[in-house]
Amino acid sequence: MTRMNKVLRVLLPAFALALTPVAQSWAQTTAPRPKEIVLAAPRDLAPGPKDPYYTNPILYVWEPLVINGENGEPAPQLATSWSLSEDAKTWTLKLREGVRFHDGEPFNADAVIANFDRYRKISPKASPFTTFSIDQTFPGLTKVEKVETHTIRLVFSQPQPMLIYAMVGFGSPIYSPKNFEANGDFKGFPQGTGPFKLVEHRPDVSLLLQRNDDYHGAKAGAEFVRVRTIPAPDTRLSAMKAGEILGVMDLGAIPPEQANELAKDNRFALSWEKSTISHYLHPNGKSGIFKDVRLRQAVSMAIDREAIVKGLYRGYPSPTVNILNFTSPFMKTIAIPHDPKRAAALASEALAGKRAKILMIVPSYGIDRYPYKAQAELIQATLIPLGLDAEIRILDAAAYRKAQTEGEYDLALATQGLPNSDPFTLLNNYLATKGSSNALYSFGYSNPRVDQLLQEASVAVDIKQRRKAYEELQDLALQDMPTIPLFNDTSLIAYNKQITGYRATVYGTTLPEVRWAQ
Amino acid sequence: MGAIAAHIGGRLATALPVLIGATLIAFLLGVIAPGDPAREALSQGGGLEPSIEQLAAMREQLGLDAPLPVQYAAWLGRVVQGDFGQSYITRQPVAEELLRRLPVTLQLATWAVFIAAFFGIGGGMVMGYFHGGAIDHAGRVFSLALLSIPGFWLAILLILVFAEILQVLPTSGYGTWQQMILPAVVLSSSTAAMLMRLSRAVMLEVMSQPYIITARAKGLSEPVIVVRHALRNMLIPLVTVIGNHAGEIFGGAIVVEVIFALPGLGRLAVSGIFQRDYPVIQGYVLVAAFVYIAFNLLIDLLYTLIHPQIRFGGGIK
Amino acid sequence: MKAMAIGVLAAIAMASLAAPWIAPFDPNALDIANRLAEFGPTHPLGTDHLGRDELSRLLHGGRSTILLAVIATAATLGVGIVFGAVSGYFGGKVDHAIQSLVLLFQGLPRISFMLAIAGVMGPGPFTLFIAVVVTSWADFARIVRAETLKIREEPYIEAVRALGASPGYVMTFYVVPNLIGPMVVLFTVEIGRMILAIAALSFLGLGLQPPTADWGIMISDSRPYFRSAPLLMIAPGLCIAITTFAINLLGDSLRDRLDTRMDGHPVVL
Repeated sequence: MTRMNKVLRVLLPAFALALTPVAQSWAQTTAPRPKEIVLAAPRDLAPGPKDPYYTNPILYVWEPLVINGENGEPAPQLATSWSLSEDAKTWTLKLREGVRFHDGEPFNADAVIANFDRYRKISPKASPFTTFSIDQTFPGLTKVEKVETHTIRLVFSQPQPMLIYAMVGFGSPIYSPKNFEANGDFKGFPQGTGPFKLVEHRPDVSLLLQRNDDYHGAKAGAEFVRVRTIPAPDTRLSAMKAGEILGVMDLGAIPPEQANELAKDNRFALSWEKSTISHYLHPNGKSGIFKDVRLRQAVSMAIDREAIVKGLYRGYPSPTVNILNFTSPFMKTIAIPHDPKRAAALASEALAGKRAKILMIVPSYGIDRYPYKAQAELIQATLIPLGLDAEIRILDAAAYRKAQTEGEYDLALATQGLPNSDPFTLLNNYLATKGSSNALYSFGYSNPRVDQLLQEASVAVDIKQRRKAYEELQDLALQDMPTIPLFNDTSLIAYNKQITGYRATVYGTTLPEVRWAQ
Repeated sequence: MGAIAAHIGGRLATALPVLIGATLIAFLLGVIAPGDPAREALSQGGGLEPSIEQLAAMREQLGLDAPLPVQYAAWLGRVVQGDFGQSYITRQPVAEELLRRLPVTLQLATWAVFIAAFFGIGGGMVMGYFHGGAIDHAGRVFSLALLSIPGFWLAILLILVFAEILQVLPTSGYGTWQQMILPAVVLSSSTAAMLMRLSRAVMLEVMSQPYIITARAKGLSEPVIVVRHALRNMLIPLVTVIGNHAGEIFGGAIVVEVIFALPGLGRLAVSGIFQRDYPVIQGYVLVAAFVYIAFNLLIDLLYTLIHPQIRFGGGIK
Repeated sequence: MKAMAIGVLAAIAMASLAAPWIAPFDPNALDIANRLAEFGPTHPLGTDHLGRDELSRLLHGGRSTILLAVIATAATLGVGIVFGAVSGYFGGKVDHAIQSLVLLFQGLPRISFMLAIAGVMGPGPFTLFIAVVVTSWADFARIVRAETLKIREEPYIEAVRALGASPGYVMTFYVVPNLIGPMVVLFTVEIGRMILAIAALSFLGLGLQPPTADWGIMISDSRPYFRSAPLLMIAPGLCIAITTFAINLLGDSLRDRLDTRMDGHPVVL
């Protein structure tokens, strides 16, 4: 028996020790805060103090100077108005008055200058959302000056007529000047100006938002909102059904199929809005058979976008052949040709009547968010009558990018977000002979007229002139088809009817309007 | 006690090369994997692609241009000092991240072991005691079924039944003991089944021992004696099975943590692998190897406590 | 029980092998208009999210799942026998080196190692095969070594060695043949685990590539739809469970007959 005792003497304390942390954290959570509205997202929306933004803007903790307005045009947020000098090199921004950060600091020109100092210090800075780079948003910025307490002036070395478009959202996040460490990282929780304060963060578990009662605009409807991180979509759906969470948010919040499943239940409702995400089928135009534009057009014509959208996405997104997302104010409406017969004829001409084996790659992150596997299988079946036998390969993000860069693929399912409403960066990256996406995705695309138009657009001060260039670029993209656009996505969310005011927006939700329904 | 210390010292000496091997493998995993970490670090979340100059600068910053042995030596030197590098994605020190998450996974594993031991041994003993009867048959089929069901399938079904339909347990999350039950049950299922089968066999063996038969004849309270003897005889098989299953439980935690939204090491590893976040993958592999080796040393120590004569046996178990 | 297990396995094997002839439809033929159809006369088990016949996919799925498991197990066993027998037979430094390697490979988290391998090689049947062999051989080697240690001490081995036979000769003609009995058991026990491991990898998206049917993939694909079409998840899940169950049952009785004590490390995924 002594042996047994010895063993027990070793084992028992060990087990007790192993279980204590649970007991502790359990004690932590048993002190409930009044009326928390619990929502869930697939990822942690607060990457933390080393992130350029700390939190995703859909949490409404911080605000940018300029936001994306309802029509896709920039709209005032912390900056109330702006004006451009004759030579297009100087922007003057009027700042909102009477605004305080969460820590009580006043928002003014000095605060904005402190933020610009930080931008410079941290650029470029990676983030799970979008890399922050002062050179990309404010190219050629030479000076940030205080004009008055609530007026600043940005001076550039070359004309920057479209600056305001680039400053939208992620382009100009503003925090309290006392919120930064010497290296530009955050000191403690983010102290923004938004309707919510971040008051608790358990990485990858949940975060808690508290209403900012000093908010300069309409105050948030809910006092406390908790956002849990639940990565698996099935688990999120189960948590919705079990009543543990009252709503979902963020990209891929709820797959369309599950949304419909949920909508059958009277307790839940859905909301959707146009999203800045577009889905494409990227062809490898650099090497392999898709160098032939006829084949790219054949594929585009053969694909039944309606069937994809209706069958796999329950009809929420909208089919497109335009390279530009439908949230952009510069988007041109183009009819969608769908003609399998002509496609087959065109392909047969391009392939000289032979069949070809091709490789279609699918990113695994796409599979988590979208019905990408089914989509790939559907496209695979569509291509058979064209004489194309596609092999599908699902690759993790890194292997997928490598295959794209090295041209080791024929077709790739891909998504692209439009970071701000000026499409220049996107069009330039995709279409310019030296564009980075063009190179990294192996489009092998080059059209002198496109390069010329991009050059013109980059210096055009007049917005009409730009629009003209952008429209011609969209036409050229359709004609040359360096990439095959499939559809514009919607941001789709679901919520329990116990809450109200929760709607999808272009990028996030109307979180500040959420409140208990009664 | 000196002998035990020497024995442990010897074991540690054996473990060291294994650890070094693990560091080499961890390092090489990062190297042979495709993808350019510089590009991964700069392009996330469907944003725009970085410029060629940005990529070059990032490569230099990450030390990716040095020859491999130099990279390995530099890396190992830092690892020894507890510096596992920075995540390419979150910019957080990997060591901090691992340390924060390790307790979650260890807790999950401990819960799983507890559940497996409790239901495995208890169930097996009941089966053995009533061997040949309906309970025994049902138990045998049940244990075999547990070994035959894919864990992720079990997880989905358990969430559906217990969280969604019955609503007696939460679907997911971390912080309360209720949230640990479903994931721990899924993680423990095969270990529990193994233990059930084993403890049933031990029970049968004990019940056929002459002294038990004698005790029965003497009219002593039978179940108490059988259980006590069986429990004592269960110790070694229990330790062995748990030792054998430790690596699998640790690895199985990956899928369980993803499905049940637990912020453990496994989830970190999955996102690290899918984002090609080398320092995170390397850190995970290292920690996993370290935990496993440490656990085996502990098992070894337990053996010597239970059976002192094992101390003089050689070889790696 | 054993007869039943063999019967079930034989039926599953036959149905899978005969899939191309007995399946009512082409397993990859899409019919998007007729997706998620309920079971009925045309489609006995209904259709999946792309309108493919579920029964035909189940039959073809069995084919790829079982075949891959058999091949992967055989290969793992082969590697395990070589390392285990050499290690057990020679002992000393060789043993120590191999056992360190065994401990090292067992010390690495199997699933993330598999993920990493799949990431390096790109998913597909060959990757699956390599990932499984690399991460599983060590368990086999350990058990084979233990068996070899036992055999080595047998008097007849001593006798053959005393007659001056070379180690290679003794290994090939005396040690390995004596390993066959336990290995048959091990193979049977392991193949059940292998089916589960492959299903798990397929579930994570690292298995066979679409549109190939595979039971693990079918479960994974059905996740968004299983509430409205539960059969899509239950049917392949039951197929895996029944097959593995029958294999385990068979393994049990074989093990009892050969009286070999060993405890496997089931995959906990």
